[in-house]
Amino acid sequence: MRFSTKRLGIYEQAAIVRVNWPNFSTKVRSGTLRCLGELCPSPLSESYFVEIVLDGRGIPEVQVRKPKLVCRSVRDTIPHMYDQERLCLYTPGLGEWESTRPIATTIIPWTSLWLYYYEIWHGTGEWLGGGHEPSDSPLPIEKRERKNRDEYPNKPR
Amino acid sequence: MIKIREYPANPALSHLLEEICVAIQLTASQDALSRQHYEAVAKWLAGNGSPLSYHEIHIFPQGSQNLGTTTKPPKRQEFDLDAVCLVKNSGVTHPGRLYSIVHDRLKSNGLYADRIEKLPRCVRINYSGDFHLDIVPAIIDAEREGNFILVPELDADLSLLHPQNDLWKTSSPKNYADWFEEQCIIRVPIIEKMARAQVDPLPDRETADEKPPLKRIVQLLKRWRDIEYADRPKLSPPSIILTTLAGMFYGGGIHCCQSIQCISMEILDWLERCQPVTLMNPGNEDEEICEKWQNNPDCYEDFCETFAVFEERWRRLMTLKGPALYRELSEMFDESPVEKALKAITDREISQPRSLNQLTVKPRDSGLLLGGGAIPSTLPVRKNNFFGNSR
Repeated sequence: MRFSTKRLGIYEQAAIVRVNWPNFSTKVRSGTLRCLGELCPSPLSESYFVEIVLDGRGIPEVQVRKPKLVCRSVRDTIPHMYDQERLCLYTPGLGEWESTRPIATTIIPWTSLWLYYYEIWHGTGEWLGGGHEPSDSPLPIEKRERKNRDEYPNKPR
Repeated sequence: MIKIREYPANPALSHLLEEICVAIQLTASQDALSRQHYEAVAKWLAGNGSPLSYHEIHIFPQGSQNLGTTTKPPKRQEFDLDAVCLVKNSGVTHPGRLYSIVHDRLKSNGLYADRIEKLPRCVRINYSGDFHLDIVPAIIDAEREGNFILVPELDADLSLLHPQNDLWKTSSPKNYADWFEEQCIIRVPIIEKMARAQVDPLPDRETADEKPPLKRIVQLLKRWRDIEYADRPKLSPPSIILTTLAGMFYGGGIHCCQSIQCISMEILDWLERCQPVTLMNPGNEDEEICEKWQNNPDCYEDFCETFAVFEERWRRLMTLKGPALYRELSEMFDESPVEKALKAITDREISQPRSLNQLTVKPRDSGLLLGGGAIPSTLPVRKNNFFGNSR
């Protein structure tokens, strides 16, 4: 499947989610799309209610609403999360996520995959899903910081 | 009548339990190595200069290795393996004498001298790292036809050659193994086997270590026993009791978690019914196998209580999901095999297909991940790299 080079609007994104993910609800208000749905990545998994918020700038934010994500121990933090609140599903700068792509075929499948590895991390103590550490991001530091600021404007720094 | 269909099948959990068994059992290379050791021991016992050199000696595995139910003891590297050293036409009639001939001959070999240990019924050879072999000297039971042997039943408080140390115990590991193999037969209708093939998310099942469910069940029960009784090993139920009870009450089901639930109910019922407790070797009607419980009622009482708790715990396990399930499995079977099993399944079913662009997600099934390539009603999971700290 080739992606269009045209940025997808909020309503287009909502329509593609509804077609592909019938158990997700979508709501557009003040130029922001909220998708709420249930994911259960494997037959042994919990069911998770996740919320994906896509604003006019085309930056998706994903949070798990229920059950609450928890650490393995008090000394741990959950891997691959921004501020222990939002899931880090893709590496900025690699072209994995662009606003020309439907969240239905990128962000939602990655969320299910993230949840799978999160549960296995609980069982093994190891994150088996790979990924990039901020220190080995493919972008030079200055560009990375600028990109992070653009893509995650709410992140406290 | 054992009604296996009354219990939930839970194929995905059965699959994880099977992988846990793979993580705790003797590997194929360890099995081959131990058999090489048996042959070397047999050769030495029958070699030139041995008092047994004119006799035919046959060493063969018995117990878990023969049944395919080996279970690595937790927190230890070595497996406990048992072998019978059958000395044919030996003419030896005193059990202490037979034991002492086998022991002394092994002791005279530099390879074994520092590795052997005397135990009441066997000579132990410690092979550092992998396992130790408990070699039980035996003669053929000339008074009975069939696969019956006699093994020394020695009194550890007496010297080996003491005239009163002259008890033989009847045994029949081959008949027991035949009985157990027969119990392993799957008896559910073919339609359920097909249903499993459809439900089971495994794309390449043939790569998993295939074994009849009953053998997996015995491995799991023994592993649970090892963890549960770690703080009171003297009360621990012997493997042969667990194996026999599991074999007696196995209903021929395909899914081991369903079968364990069914077996547990039957065992609890049997414990209540069977008073005073008695359990014969199904392959040898003269061989009582629950002597430990008869001689030490505390062991029996403890098992009755502990097994009732296990049965409840198993029922609860069937309802758990995700991190809570993995935590409970780690408590029941120890963390190490659970971690190994989860890693093996993740690698085979998720990470490898993902790296080959064959991972898909099923939106109508709440985002279930499937590793089998293009499947109708699924979306491909595109390449991504999670960002942020991985620990």
